[in-house]
Amino acid sequence: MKRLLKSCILVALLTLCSGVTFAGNIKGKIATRGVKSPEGVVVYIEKAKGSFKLPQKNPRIDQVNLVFVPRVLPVLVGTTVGFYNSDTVLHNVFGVGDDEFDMGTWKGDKIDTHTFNTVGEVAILCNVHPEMEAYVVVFENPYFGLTDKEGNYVIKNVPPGNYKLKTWHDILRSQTQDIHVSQETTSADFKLKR
Amino acid sequence: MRKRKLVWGIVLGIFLSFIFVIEAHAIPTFARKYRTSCTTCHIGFNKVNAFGEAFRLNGYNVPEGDAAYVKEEPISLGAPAWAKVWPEAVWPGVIPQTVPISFMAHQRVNFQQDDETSTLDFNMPHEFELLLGGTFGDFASFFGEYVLDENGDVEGLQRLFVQFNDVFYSNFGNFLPENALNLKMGRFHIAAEPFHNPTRRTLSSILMNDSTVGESAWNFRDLQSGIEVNGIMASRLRYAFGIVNGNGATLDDNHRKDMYYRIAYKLDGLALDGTGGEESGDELKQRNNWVDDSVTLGTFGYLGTSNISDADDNILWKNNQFFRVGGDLRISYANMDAYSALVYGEDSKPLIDLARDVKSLAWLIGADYVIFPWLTTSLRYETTEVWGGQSDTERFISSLALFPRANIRCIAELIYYPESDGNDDGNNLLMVDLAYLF
Repeated sequence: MKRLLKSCILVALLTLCSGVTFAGNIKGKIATRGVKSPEGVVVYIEKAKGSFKLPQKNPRIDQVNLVFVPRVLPVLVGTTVGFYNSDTVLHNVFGVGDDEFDMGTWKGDKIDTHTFNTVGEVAILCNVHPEMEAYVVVFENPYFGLTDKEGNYVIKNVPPGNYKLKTWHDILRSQTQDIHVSQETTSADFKLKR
Repeated sequence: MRKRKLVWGIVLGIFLSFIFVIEAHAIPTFARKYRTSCTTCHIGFNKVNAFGEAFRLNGYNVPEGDAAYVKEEPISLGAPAWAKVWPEAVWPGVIPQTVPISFMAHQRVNFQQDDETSTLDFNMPHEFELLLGGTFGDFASFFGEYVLDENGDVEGLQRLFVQFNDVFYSNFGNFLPENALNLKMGRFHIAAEPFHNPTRRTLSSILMNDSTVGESAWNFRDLQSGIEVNGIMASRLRYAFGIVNGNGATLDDNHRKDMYYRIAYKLDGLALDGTGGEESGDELKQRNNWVDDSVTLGTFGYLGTSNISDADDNILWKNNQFFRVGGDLRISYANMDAYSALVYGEDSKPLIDLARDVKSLAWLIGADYVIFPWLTTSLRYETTEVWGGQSDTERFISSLALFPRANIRCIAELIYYPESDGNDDGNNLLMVDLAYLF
């Protein structure tokens, strides 16, 4: 028992000495009007101080049954994204918007990558199948969350402070909320429309 | 004697209205697209409710978010993001998943009586129509009508128009507010028509829409070929301005174009752009959606030139210049929808044998009442008066409509012409019409 108490005190002291602050989470629900589903809304913090680590594993966008999966991919600026083709047909991948590139046309096992170094919105298209589209949304910090089919989102490990919380959607109008993040979970809901 | 006849006529009309039945419906293409009942937009077809009117004015798109309600997914002609590639690629669009055609059939019985004879005619089928309507996303919409008459003869193409919605809002830059400017092209009912003829409650069309002056064939009801700019400002002000041939469905026979306008303002109730209603969630249908407590005040006008032709289309007299100007008022409260309109007109030379101005005046007052969602009744008085050259007309219309199903309508309607000034305006007529759409 004494040993446990000592350990706890030691951890507390180390934490205080290192100046580390506990981060909080932001979660909420997005209601939408004018689209079929609230899925695919990105909720993000507009400005946050600090330097941020890129993900250890590159996120990927696949092409399955003539559909880009996932349809919306939020990433931290500088992230490299892998593009796959799981279909048996030829696909092309090119990006337009704040970052433009063309990976050419291929089928089979080839995996191509692109590093997104510009903050903004990039539409991913296939010039073989014009009905296909996806979006890579590039942010300057890692504090973003993507809604599920019910419109729920979570942004994890946000340092305490005051922020502007914004939404991104390819069709719905963006909204902004002022938010204060503490060490506890903070809630923020939105109602979006076209 | 005349008064007694008039009173009996009205009583008989109302009585028959409650004995016989009527119909209802919208075009099933939209019912299929949204997987919803005709009664979402119609108070029994053809009359539209406030939501249906907003749907029509919004280019056959559900206001404030059509895509959420579409159950029959359109075929993509390019993902929306292709717009970012333009002009290096074709602007993306959609087409309806299924061929957007609906059918409407009428079976009718006419009982007509004049001073000497009476006839009972089984006018079956009375009419068979192909209706098409759909959208190319929220960018554009189209509507068309092709009619066969009772003998299988082809009456032909009636309405056929395309409307580009929200020009300069979402399509060519955001220069104007949403709903502010739509562009309609083709052959259509002009917005200056005092009452939109295809969505009237009764079998009989509106007299002031049909009426002509002298030998001039022009009237409000005729379809016109041309271009119309229309829109909604601040949710409740509707405007329309159009330039048309002025010669109905035939080729123009003069070099001048006719012009018209309409301005209307709706107080209270569901706004013209569909805002201000209750949140409908995932379902379009709302309870008591025929109730829209509101007042709508409007004005309209038409300036045109017509030629006077004989039966073989030989022009006998050129350049009858004319205008019509009028106003209308509609008061909807609970189950009652009361309306009135007045039109004043002047024609410069509408008579072949007499070169002089002719003035005309037409007005009407009427009301529709929803007894049950499946049973409605209408009563209307309407009159036209032409000073110099044509007999006056006045008539009462009493109608009862029954909707055994949302797409089936049975209407019993009495048209009663009281004798006035010794003129014989027309023969009293009782019609029973069964219509169905699919």
